[in-house]
Amino acid sequence: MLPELSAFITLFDPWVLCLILMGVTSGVVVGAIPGLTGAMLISLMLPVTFFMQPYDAIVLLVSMYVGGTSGGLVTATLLRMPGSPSNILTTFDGYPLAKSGRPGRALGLGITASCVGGLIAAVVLFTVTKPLSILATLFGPFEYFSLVIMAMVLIASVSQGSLVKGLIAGFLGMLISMPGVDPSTGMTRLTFDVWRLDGGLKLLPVLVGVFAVGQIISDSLRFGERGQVTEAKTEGILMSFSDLKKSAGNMLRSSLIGTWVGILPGIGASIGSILAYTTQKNLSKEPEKFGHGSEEGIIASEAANNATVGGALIPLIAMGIPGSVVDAILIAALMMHSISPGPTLFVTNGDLVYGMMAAYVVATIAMWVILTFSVRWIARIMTLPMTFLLPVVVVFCMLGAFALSNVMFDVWVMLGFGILGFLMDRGKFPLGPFVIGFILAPIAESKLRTGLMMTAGDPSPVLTRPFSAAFIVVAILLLIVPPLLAWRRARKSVELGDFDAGGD
Amino acid sequence: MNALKRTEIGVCGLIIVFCLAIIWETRSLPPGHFEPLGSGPFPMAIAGLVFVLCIAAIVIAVFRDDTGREAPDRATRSAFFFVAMVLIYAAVFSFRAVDFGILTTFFLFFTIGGLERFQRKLLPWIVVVSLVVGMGTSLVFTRFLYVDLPTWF
Repeated sequence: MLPELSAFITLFDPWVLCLILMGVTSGVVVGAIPGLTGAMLISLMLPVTFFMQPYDAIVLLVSMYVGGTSGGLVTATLLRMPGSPSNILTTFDGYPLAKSGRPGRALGLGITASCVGGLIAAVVLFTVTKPLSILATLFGPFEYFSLVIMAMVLIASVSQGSLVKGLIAGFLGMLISMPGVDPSTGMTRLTFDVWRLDGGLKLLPVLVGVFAVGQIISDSLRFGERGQVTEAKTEGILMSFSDLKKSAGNMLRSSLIGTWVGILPGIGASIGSILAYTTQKNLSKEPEKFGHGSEEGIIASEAANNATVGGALIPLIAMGIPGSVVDAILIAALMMHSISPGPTLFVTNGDLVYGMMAAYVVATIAMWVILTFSVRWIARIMTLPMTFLLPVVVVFCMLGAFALSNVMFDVWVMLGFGILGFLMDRGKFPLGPFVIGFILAPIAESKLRTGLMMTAGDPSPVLTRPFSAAFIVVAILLLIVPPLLAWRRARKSVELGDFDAGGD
Repeated sequence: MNALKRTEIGVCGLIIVFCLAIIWETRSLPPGHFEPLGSGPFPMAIAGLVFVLCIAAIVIAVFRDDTGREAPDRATRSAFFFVAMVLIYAAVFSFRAVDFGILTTFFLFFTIGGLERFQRKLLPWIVVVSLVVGMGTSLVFTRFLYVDLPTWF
């Protein structure tokens, strides 16, 4: 039997189906609450997955990932507050359409586009991942090192804020991962004589601190804020066949854009939805409607942000490189179960890989069913006051960090990184590159050192081996081109300003 | 200088101190015996790179024109109260002197209650949420997940 088919059959075990439903529902609910994100939920759930089989843990986390990415559209449409950053563009058109008396239509377009986007990405996931993993087996240590460098620059260049801040965040994440046992020599290093640091900083307290605690502190500055809620009427929530036919081109295009953006290491759903939205606006016959309740806008944004989830799973499975922050957490989950993600994953844990991909498909369909038929109740949950929610989430953060090794040191590490995450967020330093840098640093260092051992200290293969050189060239272009474009734009606007002034 | 600039410069300053500490610490690491690079050069290079980038970020922040980008005022008093309660909760938890369920119930009651100014109409809800979450998490994490939380019962 084909492994893909067997993976789907395994999913129809009642326990696994139950995990998918639990994962998607909790993801949707948390994603729908402004301030709480899917990344936060998944990082908090990591300690619970210690007690599960690896397959069950991955199915649950992937389902949460799908739910968390989709839930935000409810808040974006009804509250004009994106549940997660990837839903920002849905607020531009979803909220005006809901406000004009068609909330069911606005929600229905978003939900169906999310589902279709996810399914199109799944097709790419099933067809591209294995060939890519075979290609990745040709990579040597220098290629991996260059790939990590390219990923770091790529993440930094497209993250919110400036390129410099993105690079600082990414390389700081790399630096934070270095204290502890040197992976090549087994000696401890950079511990500042703190014996608790001998084992290094564990991923979970750092993740929960930066993403959950940092976000909680940021949210605590908004206690008392209330959005304008539009009632969640469900008339028109189901898209007709003619609607689907009319939007097919937009859905396919936006989903493929989202999938491609997802494949690029470290770029999140936000960039995918921005690219798809802008492309659709440029191609639309009614671009003036964008920002005022355009149905095309909702479809483009939602199809793309869900497609990035499937796209981001591709580099995770094929190369062990996280496509997004949540993928970094999934890598952590795999490592906790002694599974090394990378090109050999298909050989060593084929069932798990196909199970993960099949779970993504089933979770996407489950998301459509759950959102379509329970959006009215989810809309009520999202109005829960932050004053009740945030202290409860703090309790779970504490438990998550403590349960890892039953030591308070991890709780203090989590709180420390929570404060760092909050300060970085306030200073507009992107947090995604920080976490991805933390995950990628050991790969970069160990591969470089292995490569140098093989060549007796000669680093030239970084530039002479074709794949490695290509990655380095892309990294250099990514460093040079965006500032150059910004400089040209600034010069152009100054020239236009001079021209206007001259004209006066 | 506005709040954003102050935060950017402050964060960069903190990172610079950390980088200098890392660079200082790497100097005491021995060179590699079996491989050419050794333990120190890679962290040292990354710390040096972050140091230079932080200097660049400070220079950019100082010379950037931020007129009209002042952040709005926010409920900082509530946020300070909340963060202080979290730190007290963590400190008491670290002494392991109080049952986790009871500690969590009190933490939730006083934190939610303080943020909601102990409004009489919300008090029953605050009590219920505090008790259910406090006692419920203690029960689940100690009896079913075998986490070594301090317990009295």
